[in-house]
Order: sequence, then structure tokens, then C-alpha cells
Amino acid sequence: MISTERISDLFVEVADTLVDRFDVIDFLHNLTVHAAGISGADAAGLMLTDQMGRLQFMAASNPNGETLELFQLQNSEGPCLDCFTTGQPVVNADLAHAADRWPIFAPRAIQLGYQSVHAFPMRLREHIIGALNLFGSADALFDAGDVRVVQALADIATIALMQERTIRRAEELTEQLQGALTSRVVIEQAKGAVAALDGITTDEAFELLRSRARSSQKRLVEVAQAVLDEG
Amino acid sequence: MRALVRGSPAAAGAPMLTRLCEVAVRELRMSGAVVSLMTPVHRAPDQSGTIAAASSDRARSVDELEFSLGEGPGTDAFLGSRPVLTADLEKAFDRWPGYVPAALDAGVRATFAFPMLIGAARFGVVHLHCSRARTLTDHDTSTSLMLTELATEIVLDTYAPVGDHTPADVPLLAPDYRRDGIYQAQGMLMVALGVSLQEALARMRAHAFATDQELAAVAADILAGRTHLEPDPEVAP
Repeated sequence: MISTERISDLFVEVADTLVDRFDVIDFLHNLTVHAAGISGADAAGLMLTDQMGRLQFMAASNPNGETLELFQLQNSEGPCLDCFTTGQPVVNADLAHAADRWPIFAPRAIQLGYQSVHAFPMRLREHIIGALNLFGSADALFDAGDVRVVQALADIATIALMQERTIRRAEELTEQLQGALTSRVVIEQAKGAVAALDGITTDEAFELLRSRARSSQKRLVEVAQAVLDEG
Repeated sequence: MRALVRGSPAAAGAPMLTRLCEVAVRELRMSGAVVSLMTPVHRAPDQSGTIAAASSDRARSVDELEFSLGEGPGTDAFLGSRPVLTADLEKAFDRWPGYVPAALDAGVRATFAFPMLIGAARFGVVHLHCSRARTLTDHDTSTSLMLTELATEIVLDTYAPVGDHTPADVPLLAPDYRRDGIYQAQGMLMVALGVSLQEALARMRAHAFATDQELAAVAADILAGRTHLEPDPEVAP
């Protein structure tokens, strides 16, 4: 099921992002898009722990992915939360038969047109720092090879997030993770500021911030921070 | 944790931050805790601040060192918008050549600095000192982050007084899954009212309390253009 051609493209992009001017928010968004693309899933989402026992939504491949991630947080129930709690992947869960496991989440996901769900832990040694969620139609079932590839993607996300091949000090995990969570908040605040400044929607503001970041070769969070500092 | 620090609903401001420092020392087995308030100084090499509360005079003097030397973990945590956790200052001479010897002389061996912030809205730093080299357990990290969030909330409430509506029992931001709208509305309000990002959030909170609404609902109304808060110089800090 997994397309080798798309995997090659992905590795090139990942290698690029890891080298220079790494933008964690852009990277995680692209990763969810790739994860959905290569696995044949229709939507993907990613959450990280805030280290206070809660997960925070970080990125999704499309609005449905975001809706389902937030829905899991809202109801404290779902595959991403299970995966985070147990550290074990959830593979090929059939939503039609998941009413016992996820009585609130399963009907909502079915309503949005999904039939299967998968979740993969983002693991750094003994720490589970988040989870990658995939939502698909019934024929998008993963075989053992697919599972390895998607878990590798989740591992890449972890490594990228930590920005180092090995986190030598336990303290670095906290520093990087909290920094990434803050970056996302800064971008949301900047979306609101730009929307007010230019009289556009927050979605349009996000696209504007992204294109400014690209054209000036700056990280998205730097562009966002500059908007807020000037405001 | 919240109840330990917030105590009686009438308590507010500095006494609450002092209690927070005392709780931090006790719960996290630290030798000192300090809350410093800082204002971003753009394109300036050093960072000034004021100490709002400390667990002891000794702890206070350690953080005063940092301001007089113009470098240190608290400064870096504030400027970098992320925690700066140093398990052993003996190994950090290169990073802070002035601060490390002075801090070691003052009996501090490990420091854990957590920025008080909500995205780009930065308030200061919660700085924990320990007299021996040590790391934080996962539980310690969680406790430190919660105390920092609480300190942020206490300081934020000083920006926009809400009269008799003491928001002591209302958490900083409402449920996690509805926070994005709050952050966006905060940025929008900053521009619309011409106030700081900090004050924009404080105004939203005050409005939420005054009208008995959830913060997320106020944010949604602001984003949809249904609510217009008025600039009001009287409540500016």
C-alpha cells in the first residue's frame, strides 16, 4: 500500500528541513500531509504532551484531521490518547466495531466519513512525547510493512522535534518540547494580529505568514514573533 | 497546587507569589525560588527585570546577581521563550562566565528557570535554585510547569483588575481544545485596541468574568466581530 516513490520524496524533504532554518511547526504540518499521503490515509493529525499530563494539538493534514484531534482532547477519549497512555500503536482499528472502546469518538469519526483509525507513539527512550494519528477508509488497512514505515515517520518527527540525534540531557527534552508548544501559540496569536491588521480571515493570515516566511527565508515562528513585537 | 497557592479568595498579587515560591521550595525540594517580572527589550544586549517575590532573602540575592551581571539562566529562559534547566552549574562556566562563579559562591549548584509566558506574551521567569547538583523527575517537571502557569495567571490578573470578581478559581485559559481561538482573538485585540498582547488577554479575561461567560466564548465573539472591547485607559497597568 505504501508508495516507495512518495517515501523517496519524503526523505528528501525531511533531510532538507533537518539541515538549516528548521521550522518545527511547518515541519510537523508537512509530516502529517506526507503521513496521510504515503499510507493512503485520508487524514492525519499529531499531538504532543505538555508534560503536565495533557496532550496539545500540533498539526493536521486537513481540517477533518484537526477536528478529530480536537474532538479527542475535548472528550478525553480516542486512539491518540490511548496510544499516548499505553505507548503502544493502535493499528487498523475498525470504527464500526469500536463503539465500546470509544463511545463518543467512534460515531463522530464515522460521521466525518472515516472507517479505520491508526495511532503511533512518538517515543524518546522511556518518554512518550506525543502521537501520530491516521484516519482512513476501510480499504486503507496497514500490513506489517506499512506499520514499520509509519512508525518510522513518527520516529522522524520525534528526532526532528528534538533537533539533535541524541538528547544527552533529560532537561533538553523539556526545553525543546516546551519551545515547540510555545511556537505554535505564537503563530496563532500572529494569525489574529495579521487578520486584524489586514482585514482578512485567520486562515488567510496564516497563508500570508507562511508565504512571508518562505520569501524572507525565515522561520514561521520568527515572522510571527516579529508581527507581534511590532504590533 | 492551585489551592495551596491561591489560598483565600481575597489574597492577591505579591503575597500570592511569595506563597507560590514557598510551595515550590517545599514541593520540589529546592533551596530557593524566585519570581522575576521582565519586559522584553528588543535589540538590547541585556535584559532588566524586577523581583516580584522570593522564598527567602538569600534566594532573592541570587537572582539580583543575574540582573547586575546581565546574564544567567533566568535571562536566557525569558529571551529564548523556553525553559533553561541546568543540572550542574559546575558544567556551565562557558555559557555564563560571570554568573556561574557568583551563583556557586552563593551556594547554588543547580538552577531551573521557567519562562512565564503565553506564546509571545511574556511576563517573567520562575527560577528555582538547588544547593546540590540534580535533575528534575518527570513529576518535578510537571509540578514546575504548573506552578509557572499559576504564576503567569496571578501576574496577568494584575493587568486588568476585575473588581469584586476575583478570578481565583478560574484557570488561565479554559479547556485546551478551545485555546487556539483565544490566542487568535488575543492577537486580534492587541491590534484593535493598540494594547500589549498581555493586556489584550487580561481584557478578555476581565470581560469574561464581568459578563459571566467562558473565555473561549468571548474569544469566539471577538473573532466573529460580534464583540468590540473598548480601549479603557483606566484599567491599564
